[in-house]
Amino acid sequence: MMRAYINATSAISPQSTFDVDNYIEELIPSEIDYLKAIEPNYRDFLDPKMARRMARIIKMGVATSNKCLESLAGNTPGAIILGTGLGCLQDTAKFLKDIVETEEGLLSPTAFIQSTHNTIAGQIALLIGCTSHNFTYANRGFSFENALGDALLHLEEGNDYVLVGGIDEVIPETNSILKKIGCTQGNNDKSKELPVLGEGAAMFLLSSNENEESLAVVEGVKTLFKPNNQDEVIESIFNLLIETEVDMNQVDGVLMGYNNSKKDDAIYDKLVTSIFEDKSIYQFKHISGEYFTANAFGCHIAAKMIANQKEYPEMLVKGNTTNIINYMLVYNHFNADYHSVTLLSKC
Amino acid sequence: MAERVYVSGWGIISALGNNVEENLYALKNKKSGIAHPEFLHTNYAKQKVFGEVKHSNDELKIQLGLKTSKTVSRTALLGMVAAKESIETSGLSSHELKSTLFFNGTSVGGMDISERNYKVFLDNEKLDYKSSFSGHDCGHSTESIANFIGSKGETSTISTACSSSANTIMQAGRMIKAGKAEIAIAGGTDALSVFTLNGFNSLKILDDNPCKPFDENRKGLNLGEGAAYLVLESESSVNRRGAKILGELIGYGNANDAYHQTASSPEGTGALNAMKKAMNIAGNPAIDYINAHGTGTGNNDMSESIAIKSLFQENIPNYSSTKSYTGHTLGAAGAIEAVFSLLSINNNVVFPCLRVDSPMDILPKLPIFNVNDQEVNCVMSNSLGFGGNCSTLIFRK
Repeated sequence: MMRAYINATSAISPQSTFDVDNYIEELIPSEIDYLKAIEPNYRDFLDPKMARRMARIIKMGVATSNKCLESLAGNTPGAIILGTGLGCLQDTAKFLKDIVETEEGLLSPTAFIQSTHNTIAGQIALLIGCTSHNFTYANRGFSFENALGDALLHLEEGNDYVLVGGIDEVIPETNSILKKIGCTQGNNDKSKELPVLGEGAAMFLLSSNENEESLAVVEGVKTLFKPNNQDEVIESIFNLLIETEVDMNQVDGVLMGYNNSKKDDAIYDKLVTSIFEDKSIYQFKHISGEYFTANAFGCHIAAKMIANQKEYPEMLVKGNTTNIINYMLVYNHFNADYHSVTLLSKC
Repeated sequence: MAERVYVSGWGIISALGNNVEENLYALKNKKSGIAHPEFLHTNYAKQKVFGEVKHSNDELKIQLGLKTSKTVSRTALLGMVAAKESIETSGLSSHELKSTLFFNGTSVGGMDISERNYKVFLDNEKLDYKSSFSGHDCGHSTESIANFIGSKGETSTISTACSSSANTIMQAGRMIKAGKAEIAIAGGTDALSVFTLNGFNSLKILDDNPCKPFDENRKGLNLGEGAAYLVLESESSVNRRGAKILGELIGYGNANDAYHQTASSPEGTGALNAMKKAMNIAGNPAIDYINAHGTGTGNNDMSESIAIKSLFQENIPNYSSTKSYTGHTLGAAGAIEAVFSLLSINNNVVFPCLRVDSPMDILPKLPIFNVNDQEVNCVMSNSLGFGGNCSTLIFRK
C-alpha cells in the first residue's frame, strides 16, 4: 500500500481548530441545537466582495485548503479530491425555497450554481488556477474515505501532491428534518440516545515523498460496506495492519467515532473489550458532531496528535497518556453500514 | 505490468428506450426521444421539451419486479433498470456480484422526491419525513441500486455535475489498471427534476425546441434523464470467466477548466487538457469518431470545437452529439454516451447530430448528419461539466 505523507492539515470544526495557536485549548459548549462550526474571518483569504457572495461551505473549503497549500508556495497540487455527503445544503435549500415561493418563476441562478456538490472543489481550483484532476465523492459514510483512497491512488500513479478533504454543513432545515426522521437529537435534548449533528471541513495536503514539512504518515485506509458481523470488522482492521506491515502491539492509540447512540456505540465498546483492550482509546465526535464526513475530522485529530506528540485530554475515553505516539488507528462507522479504518503514523 | 481494462457488460435506459437494443434502434433510425414531458410535474411542461424516459415510476417498479410500496426515487429506479441489464449482459454470477464494486455517478440523487415534499415541509404541514427525505443524498441512490442488484462490494458515488458518470468509469478503470479491483460496475443515473430544470432555466441555457448541437443557430440544451452502466473487468478476470468483450477502455483524462463556475473557457482549456491526458494514456491512437459533449449551448459547443481543433488540427475525426437524441442527461450522460460509443465500435456505425441546418464553421469538418456505416476502432467520448470538470474516455474495439 502507498504511504502518503501529510504535509499539512487544517480543519474548521465546532471547536477552535482552524487557529493553530489556540488549538482546542478548552471546549466551548454549543449554544444552538447542533454543533456549529467556528468560522474564521474569511477576509484574510478572500476579497470581501467574494466572501459575502460565497456560500459558507465553500468558504470553509477554501479557507482550509488555503492553509494546506501554503507550503506549496504558489504551486498547485496534482489533484484536488473532496468528499461531501450532502454537499452545498444552504444553496440547495435556498433554490428549492425560491422555486416553491415563486411557483417556478423568474429565479436568480446564484443559488443553483452554488448548489452542486462539485462547486467546492471547483471553486478551490478556480481560486488557485489549478487545472489538474478534480473529483468530488458524495457517497454517504464513505464520501471522505473514497476521496482518501483516490488520493493514495493518485500518489501511486506518480502525482507529487494531492489536496484531499472531507466537508459537510448543517442548515437548520436539515437539522429539523433529521430530528423528525429520528436520526439525530438536539444538542440539549438528553432524553434520547441519538447523535447530535455537526459540521466542518478537514483538509490535507498529501505528498508522495517525505520532506521537512511532513507531519505524519497515512499508512493506509480500508473500507467495509455493510459487514455481516463484528468479526468481519475485526478482520478488516487486521487486514489493514497486515498490508501495512504493522503489528497490533505497535499501535499506541485508537480514535473512534463514538456518537452517543447506544446502537452505534455498541461496536466501539466491543472492540475495546476484544482487540483494543490495552490501548488508549480516544473519541472525536463530541467535538465535531455526527455527519457523513466526520471521519475526515477524526483523521485530522489523529494527524495532529502524532505531529504534536500530544494528546488532548478532552478526547481520552480510556487508558493512559502515552509518551510517544508512533501509530494511531482511526476507526469509524456510519449507521453501522459504512465502516472504515485508517492507520496513521509518525514520520 | 498494468492490467488492461475491458468492458464485458452494458445496460442503459434513456428517452430512446429501456435497453441497449432499443437505444441502438432509435439511434440508427434517427428517432429522437425529445418531447414534451408526461411525468415531470412542472409549469414548463407545455413550454419546454425533454429527453424523458417514457415510463412512470410505478411502471418502472413493475418492470423491476419491485413489490415495495416504499418511496424509491426515480434516479434510483432508472439506475436499477440499467444496472440490471449490465449484469445480465456480462453474465456475472450472484457469487461474483458479491465482490463486485459499484461506482455510481449522479448529480442530484433523490432530489425528485425531496422537491415534491419541500413545500409541505416549509409550510410545516404533516408529512412522513422518512420517506420524503431520507433518499435525498446522492449516496442513497447508490446504496439502493447496490442493494437491488445484490452487490456487496465497495460502493462509490461521484458527483461532478455533467461529468459524474464519465468519472466513475474512469475511476473504476484506474482501480482495475492498478490491480486494486477485478470487476466493477460503473456508470451513473439522473432523473429529471424541477430543481435542475429551474436551475438551467435560470441560467438561460435551455432551448424551448429540440436542441441543435453544433448548429450556428443553436439556442441551448434540452434536459434529459436516464441511466447507464458498464461492467469493467480486468484482462485476467475476463479470461478466467470467458466473458464476451464489448470493447476496451484504453484512455481517460480529467482536468479542470479553472475558468468559471458554470461556463467553459473560450479556448476550451479544460476540455483540451482532458482529451490530451486521455490520448496520452491511450498511446495516441487514431480516433475514428468523437461522441462530443455537444450540449447545444452557445458556450459549450464553441469551446469544445476550439479544443477539438487545437488537439486534432486539420485531421478532425468524425464527430457528433447524441444529446440531440437524448437531451442532456447530466450525471448519466457520460455513461449513456459511453454505451453509444461502444455501440459504434460493435456495429461499425456512427450516429448523427440531428437538426443541424447551418453547421458551425469553427472546425474544418462538418458534424455527421446521417447514420454512417464506417469502420470504427476507436472512439473518444467527452463530458464537460459545471465547476470546470472536464472528462474524456477512449474506447477501442
